Parts: sequence; C-alpha cells; structure tokens
Amino acid sequence: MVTNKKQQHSKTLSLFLIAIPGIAYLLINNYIPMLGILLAFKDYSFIKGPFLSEWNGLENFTFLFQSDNAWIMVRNTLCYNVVFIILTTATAIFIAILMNEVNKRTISKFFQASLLLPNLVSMVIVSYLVYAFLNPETGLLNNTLEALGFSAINWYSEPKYWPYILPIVNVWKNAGYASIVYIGSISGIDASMYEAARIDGAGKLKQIFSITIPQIKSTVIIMVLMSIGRIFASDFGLFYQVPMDSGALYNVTQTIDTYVYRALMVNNDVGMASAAALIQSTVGFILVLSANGLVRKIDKENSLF
Amino acid sequence: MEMNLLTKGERAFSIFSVVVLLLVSVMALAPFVLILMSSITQEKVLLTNGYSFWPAEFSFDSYLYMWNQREQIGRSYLTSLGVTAVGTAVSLMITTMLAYPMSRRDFKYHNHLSFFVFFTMLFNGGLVASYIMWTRIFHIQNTYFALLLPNLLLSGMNVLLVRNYYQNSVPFDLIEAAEIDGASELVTFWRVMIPLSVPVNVTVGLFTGLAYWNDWTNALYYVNDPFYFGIQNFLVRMMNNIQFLSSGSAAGMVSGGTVQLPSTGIRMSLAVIGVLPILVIYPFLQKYLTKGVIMGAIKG
Amino acid sequence: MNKRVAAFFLAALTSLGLAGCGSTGGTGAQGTAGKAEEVSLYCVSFNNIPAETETARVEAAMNDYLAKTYPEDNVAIDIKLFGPAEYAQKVTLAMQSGDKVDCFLINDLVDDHASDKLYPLDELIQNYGQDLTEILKKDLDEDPYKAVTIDGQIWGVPVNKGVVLHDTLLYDKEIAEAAGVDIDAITCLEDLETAFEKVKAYDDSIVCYAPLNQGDSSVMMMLRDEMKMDVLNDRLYYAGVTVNNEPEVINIFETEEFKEKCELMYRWNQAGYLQDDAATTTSTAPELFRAGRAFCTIGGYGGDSAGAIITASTGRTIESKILYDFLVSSASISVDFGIASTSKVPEAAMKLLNRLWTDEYLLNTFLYGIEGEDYVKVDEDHWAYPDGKDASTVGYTAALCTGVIGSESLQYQTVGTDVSDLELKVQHNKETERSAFYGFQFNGTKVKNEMSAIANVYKQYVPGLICGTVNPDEAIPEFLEALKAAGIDTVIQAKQEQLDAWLAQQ
Repeated sequence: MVTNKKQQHSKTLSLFLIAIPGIAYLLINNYIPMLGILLAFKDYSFIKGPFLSEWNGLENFTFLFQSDNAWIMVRNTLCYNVVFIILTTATAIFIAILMNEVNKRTISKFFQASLLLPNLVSMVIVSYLVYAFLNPETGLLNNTLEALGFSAINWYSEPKYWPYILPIVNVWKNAGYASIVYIGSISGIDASMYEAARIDGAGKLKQIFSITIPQIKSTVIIMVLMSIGRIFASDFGLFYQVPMDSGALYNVTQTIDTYVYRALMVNNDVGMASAAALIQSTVGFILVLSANGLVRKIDKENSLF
Repeated sequence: MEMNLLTKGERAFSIFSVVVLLLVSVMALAPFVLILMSSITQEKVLLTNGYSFWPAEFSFDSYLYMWNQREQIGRSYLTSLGVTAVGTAVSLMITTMLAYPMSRRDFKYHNHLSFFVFFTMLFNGGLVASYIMWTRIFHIQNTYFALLLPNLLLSGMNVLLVRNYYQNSVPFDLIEAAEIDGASELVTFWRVMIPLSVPVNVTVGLFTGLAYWNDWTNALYYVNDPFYFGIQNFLVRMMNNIQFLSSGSAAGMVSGGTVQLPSTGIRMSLAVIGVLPILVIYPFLQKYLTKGVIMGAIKG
Repeated sequence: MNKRVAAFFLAALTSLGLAGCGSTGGTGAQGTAGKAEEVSLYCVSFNNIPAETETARVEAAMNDYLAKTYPEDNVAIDIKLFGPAEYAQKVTLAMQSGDKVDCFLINDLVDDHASDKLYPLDELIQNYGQDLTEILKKDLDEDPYKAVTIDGQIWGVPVNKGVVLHDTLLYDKEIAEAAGVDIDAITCLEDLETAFEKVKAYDDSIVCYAPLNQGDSSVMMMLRDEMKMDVLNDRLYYAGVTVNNEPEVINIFETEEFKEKCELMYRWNQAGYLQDDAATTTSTAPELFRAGRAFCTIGGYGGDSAGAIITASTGRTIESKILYDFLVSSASISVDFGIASTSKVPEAAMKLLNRLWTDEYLLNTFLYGIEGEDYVKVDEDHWAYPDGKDASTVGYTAALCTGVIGSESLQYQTVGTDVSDLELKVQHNKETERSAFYGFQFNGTKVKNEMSAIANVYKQYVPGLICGTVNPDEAIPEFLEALKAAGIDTVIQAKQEQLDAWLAQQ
C-alpha cells in the first residue's frame, strides 16, 4: 500500500478523532482529579482548603511504618495476591476450556449463570456464609467434623487455617467471573484450526495445549499484567469481614488496606489515606512497568503498551 | 457430517467436562441455597441451630417486612435497570471507539494511548478531587447522571480487553481491504470492526452491566435524595441500619424503643432481592448474547 | 480543537479554584432585611433517610414557624440527614468540596478542631445563645461548655441529654428466676460467677454472659469506672489514662487490675460461661436475648429505663441493675454540634442551634415530622406513629435521633416510656462525680502515627483478652510488647506533658 505523508497524517488524525470521547472521559473522570494526589503531601486544613493547606513533606506516609506491623502487612498483601493471581487464573482457564466442550446449550447456560452467582453476592453476605460453615458452635463444618469423630476447631482463633481458607473463598467468588474473559476469547478461536488438528489425529489434550492455550495467551498475559498493577491492594471485605475482624488472625489477615482502615477509623485523616493509596499505586506501577518490559523483550506483540 | 463422529477420547473428555462443571456449579450454588433457606428460617432457630439447608421452622417475616417497602424496592429496581441499560450501551460505544485506534499498530500513538488508559487503572486522585469535578463543574448531584457518569462509564480493563481482541482476532487484511476500497477510518470502524467485535462486546458488556448493577458508591457520594437510589443503595442502606439497630450501642444511643427485626433473616433476604433479578434476566440476556456471538462468528 | 480543550481546562481549573466560594442554593449573608438566612444542618439519622420532597415538607413547616415566632432571628433551616455509615465521610466531603455546611454533628471534637473544621463559638454563644446556655445549665452542668473548650475557646454545643451512663447489668428475669439466681447478692462483675454456675446447671445451652457488641465484653468500660479512670479523650483504645484522679498518666494494660479482669474472663470462657468465639461472634446480647438464649450482659446506660427498652425490643423480660458508678470526664461529653469553619453564616447557625435546643415545637418537628401526618400526640409527653404506619412507611421521621440533637427534656417520648426517667437523667447529670481532669482535652496531632499503630494493636489483642478467648499469661506480655513497639510510651509522655501544662493553668 502506498502512503504519502499527508495520507498518513490524515489517518492519524481520524483515528485520533474516533478515540476522542474515551480520552475526554478519562481526562475528566481520572486525570484532572489526580491533582488530589497532592493531598498526600499536605497537612490538610479545612479553613485553607485543598490548595492552600500547607505542605508537610512525607509526614503523612510515616504512619505506615510505625512498629513492626509494616512488614507483616506487606508480606500478607504480596503473598496472598501472588497466590490469588495464580489460582484464579488457572481455575478460570480450566473452567473456560471445559465450558467450551459442553455443546448442549441449555446446560452450558446453567453452568454460566451459576458460576457467575458468587460474584454477585457482596462480601458482607459472603462473610455470613463463611460463618455459617465455620462458626464454632453450630457451624456446618464443625458439625461434620464432630459427626466424623474429630474434635471441633475454633476456626476464628486459629491462624494456621486462614492461608488456605482465604484463597478458597477468593477463588470461589472470582474464578467464575474471571472465566468469562477466557470463554469469550476461546469462542473467538477459528474453528478450522481445531478441524485441521483433528484431521492430523491430534487428541483433545493435544488440541488444548497446542491450539487453545497459545491462542488465548495474549489475553492471559494482559489479565495477569493488570492484576500485578493491583498487587499492593487487597479486597477489603475478604480480609476484614470474612475473618470477622478477629484479632487472633491478624498475623495472617492484616493487609495494607485493613491496617489503614483500622488506623484511620478514628481521625479519618485525608492526607494519610491519600498517602497510603499513593504508595499502593506506585508499587503496582513499578512492578507492572518491569513485568511489561519483560514481556516486551520476549514477545513484543503481547505487551500491554 | 464428520463433525459428529467424535473419537472415543473426545467423547470421554466431553463427559468429563460436564461432570466437573456440574460439581463446580454445585459448589457455586450451594451457598446461595443456604442464603435462600436462611432468609426463610425462623430467627430463633437460626440462632440456636445455626444455618441449615432445610430449616426446622420456616418464617417469612423478613419478606413480609420487605413487602411493606415494595414501593421503594420497585422504584429502585427500575432505576437500576434503566441505569444499567443506558450505562452499558454508552459504555460499549466509547470503549470500542477508544480501543480501535489503540489496536491499530500502524497508528502512530497506539502505545501512548494504551499507556494513557492503563495509567488510570493504577492511580486515582481520591474522592475529594473527583467529587469537586463532578459536582462543581458538571452539577450531577441528585440527578440520574450521578449514577451513570462517575467511574463506571469507561473501565481501563475493558478497553484493553477489546484492544487485545481487535489485535488478535481481527485479521489486519480486512482493515487494509476496506482502506483500499477508499473507506474512511470511521466507516471502517463502523462497517468492519463493530460487527466483528460482538463476541468481545458480550464479555465486556456483561462486565459493565454487572458493575452498574452492583454499584452503590456513586449514589452514596453524589445523591442525597433516596428517590434516585438504585436497588443496591436501598439494600446497603438497609443492611447498615440493621447492623446498627441490632448492635448493643443502639440501645444506649437511641432512647426510644427499637423495632423487633429478624436481623439475620433480613440480611439474607436482602441478598436474595439483590441477586434474584439477575437470575431472572440472565437466561434471556444469554440467549440474545449467544445469538450475537453466532452472528459475529458467521460474519467473521 | 486545541482551543476547545484549552477552554475546557481553563473552566475546570477556575471552578476548582473557586470551589471554596460558590455554593448552590445558598442565600449568603444578606442582612436582616432580605430573605431569611438559610442554615444547612448536617446530622446523622438512624432511620431511613426521607425523600427530598418529604424533608422539604418538614423544612417548610419549621421555617414558617421560625419566621412567625422568631422574626428577629431571620433564619431558615435546610435539613441534611445521612445514615450512620456514611455520615462522617459525607460531612468531610461536603466541607472539602465547598458545599454549604453551616452546622453539623461533630465526629470527634479534638480531631475536628485540629483539622480546622470548627468555628470558635464564644462570641456567638454570648450574643445569640443565651437561651441555649440557660437550658444546658439547667439540665447538663453549671459550667456547660467546660468539656467542649480547647485552648480557652468553645468549639461545640453539647447535646443536652443524659451523659451519665452507669455500668448496668441487664439480665433475663425468667432465666434468673428459673435458675434460682439471687440478683441482690450481685454487686460487681466477680459476683456473677456463682450466678453463672446456677444458670449453667439449669440449662447448659444458655450463654451466661454475652458481649453487648461484637468483640466487646464491656470489661474495659467496667475497669474504667471501677478504677475512676479518666481516658483523656481516648474513648476507644485507652492509650494513656489516669486513675483515681491522680495526675499521673499510666498504661492501664500494665496494671494488675487489667490482668485480673482478663484472667477472670479467661476462666469463665474455659468454664463455658461465654460463647467459644465470644471475641468475634456476631450473635451479640440483643440477638441472644430475643432468642431466649442469653442470661446477661453489661453495658453503659443512662437513666433507669435500659431494662424496659431492651424488653420492648426483644420481647423477653429484661431487668437491669447498676453495678459501677460512672465518672464524668471530657470524653463523656462526646455528642456535640459545631459550626463549620467554612460557614458564611455563623451567626444564623448559632441562632438556629439556640432555637433547636430550646423550642419544643422545632425540635420535635425535626425529630418526628408534622403532627397528624408523620406522628400523632398520644398525650402531653408521648408520641406514636399514625395508625397503620411505622418507621419504615411514614413519610418523614428521624425518631431515632433523640440522642444526637437538641434537649432531651423537651423531646416527646415514645409511648410506653416513663417521663420520670428524664428527671432522673438530669439529676444524674448534676450529681455524678466529675473527673479531676474534667475539661482537659488531649491534642493528639503530634502522635498521630503512634495512635494509628496502637489502634491496630488494640484491635488485635484486646477483644480476645476481655472476652476470655486467649490465655492472658501468654497474650498480655505479647500485647504489651506490641504496644511498646507501636509507641505507647510516646503517647503517654505527650499526654503527661499536656496534662501538667493544663493543671498548671487551672
């Protein structure tokens, strides 16, 4: 195709025009309000307002590093997120692949609807459900344990079980939802590829590993990169409401978000809250940039930007 | 047709899939059955015996209590449905429009644009700045726009998903062919890309729709008049009130008598009320969506 | 294109810059000749928030009355009600973004003062709040603003209600009688042990002692009143307190008394008197009472009607008995209204508060709406919902806000409650002992970091300790170490310095 500079220019312009509504929205909704990040460096005064309040350097950040809680919450946030990313992604892909095999329309509809259901229930309700299973006196799990001749367990005061319970709850709630993306991208795979593979005598497993997975690779990479961006954040409800805010479990349930919530419950300091959010975003940002750089080096086509 | 001649291995895998999915579905559904059952369990039984799949004593008190507020519940359902429908439609529009130029590797700024979008997923300026933006400049407080505009209209993740789909599933030849035919960018986008993006729009539309349906924070911040509340706001507010009234501190602070409420039962029935419409609508929606996917596939 | 973008940015920035000045629907200061000055009043409501049209109806009634009865004031009210979960955030957000906020229910006096949310009230009260001061003197305290004064200035208007909350034992009378418990013999927490033995023997499935709130067995509260503790503003985490009116700030968690209480609770938990998961359970006393599954709980209540109130809301016969006497400290005057530092009409705001605290019609209209539509008068002092209506179906009600605004002595009471309780509360207000440091306000801005870390440590250890789910021999040393790491010594030192300085001034 022959293009001269002028044509090139008009193409750029018209493509840019198509993007304008989206760009405008992001400017209004996201970029201009980012001025608010400055509050993280201010000693907020209601009389002076957001612009005239005085700068106080990094003072708003220091509360995060008070006492040895800092290490525990960083460790928990990071480790759980890594586990969640791996487990949820693997489960979601697994479900999507199986879903693709189910040809009967009605039953696949049923599956999809039921897998979506956990995501529709709020974390408060999830915490009640978990409580229904784990509550030490009338919980379904303890009843079962006792019926089987084991002794009952006081789940909410035994930290050792929670590194398993939380990922289970997380996968239960999110895997179905996450699988939608993969179901979508598998359904977009050209059917003739499978046909060709079948003629070559490839079995189902071979088809999955040599066609399905390579075809959805770019989606997987994007989804994982996006999760890495949020690696310093956590689902507040999962870590606060589901363990019933039990102090005995803090060592394994305290994350940056729950710490900040508990710390600011009384004085609700705007500057300190902004500071915590800024740290979370910045770490996520640095990690994503590095991960994206790595992807770009290996496989330029699939990098995020 | 030979399509139907499945090999033994394929048939086995198909059965395996159904069985596993069945198990997974039961795991996903069982807790919901538990919610449903505990919403119709006698409060006293719930406290003594705990939750069970088949309660010893039924009670529909919590639904009777809801029935008293049917007017408000009905209106908030309609509000939520309307906002979800309009929001999702507009969102799909601007999402695909933003994603298309990003997907064009021959577009000079496609990487800059991707970064521009991705950046919004990581950093935000906090509530104060957004609130000032939306209320001082756009004056959306106490209107339906308050439910539609802030945050939900465009999600960076969705834009990137659509971009990814365009890049990987739409052959570039098609775009080139259209351009050789002399079609402008807008026409190419409209005639070629939109029909081809049905599968990804189904996914992204579902995400956006759910986000609108489940959102209650927009109304919390930008709406004071309960008239504009969606169903989730109604439910969350009720949940909070129950939480407060059933706590011991209520009795200390409130000198009048508080009402006798089956608090756990109501919480559970609130969950049911929030999810039920989706369960009712979803099969229809799915039918429409699957049709869309098939149509998209044929055109592709 | 570029021009438009630039224009847009310019518009955005100017608006941001002007955010502090403009406001929608505000009337601004126009002097007495013009329209009445509108005062936006932000308050929490524990009822359903009424629709704007319903609120407007009530506002209109109140404003008509204000214009007719007090034309010299020339004020009008704009009611802003929010649920308890979002109230604090809403006020903060409104003030930050330049919405019109004139007076509001204060979240925390010292913090709100430290972040410049409040307008100084001395002059305003002198000029426009004489009636207010008078009724507060009559019902609350001879020196009514002592606990809302910081650095010699008044910053808040205390809500005029019973502030004395004696530590009250609430027990299920039917269970007590069936198990043969002698309530008269119980005078302190420790005495309950024999009662629990009997209840346990009578019916093993009954929870002898249920926490009143999740994770709170009221042990800290009892310790506070038993030891005549002044928490020096820290109602929640007890970081640095004085005991027995002595001017020395101590760490209460290091004391033998704290340890003994924890040991007692641990023993009771081991004996099965509390729920296994007492520290985390959401099945708290009110819920368990209702199911007839709890014998007793302890909480802080004003007057003598706690038993009647719980009885009404649980359907069981619950009786009450006071175990420990309350000590009034600055922290006890915790519900106050303030005028926003950003308000353009502070005088009008004070005039409005003055009327709301002293005018029966205004206050009750604010609480219950319009007579005949939203509520009916049963007799001189009592109200009820109109026939066939209740709290969730009536157009406007803020009936559960009786404790957060105005003067309790002017409020109509719910049908079935005894009016003599109001007199008792006033008597308690007047007669109950004041802490030696009543009026001292601790400014914690310098130790914010330490306080936030202590909040986390407190929530990690204390619920388990005071509900007896952890062994104090192991947990207390760990807890104390964590407190040290969080910086409790710094907080204690800061409190001591400020307290010494305050005492020197007295």
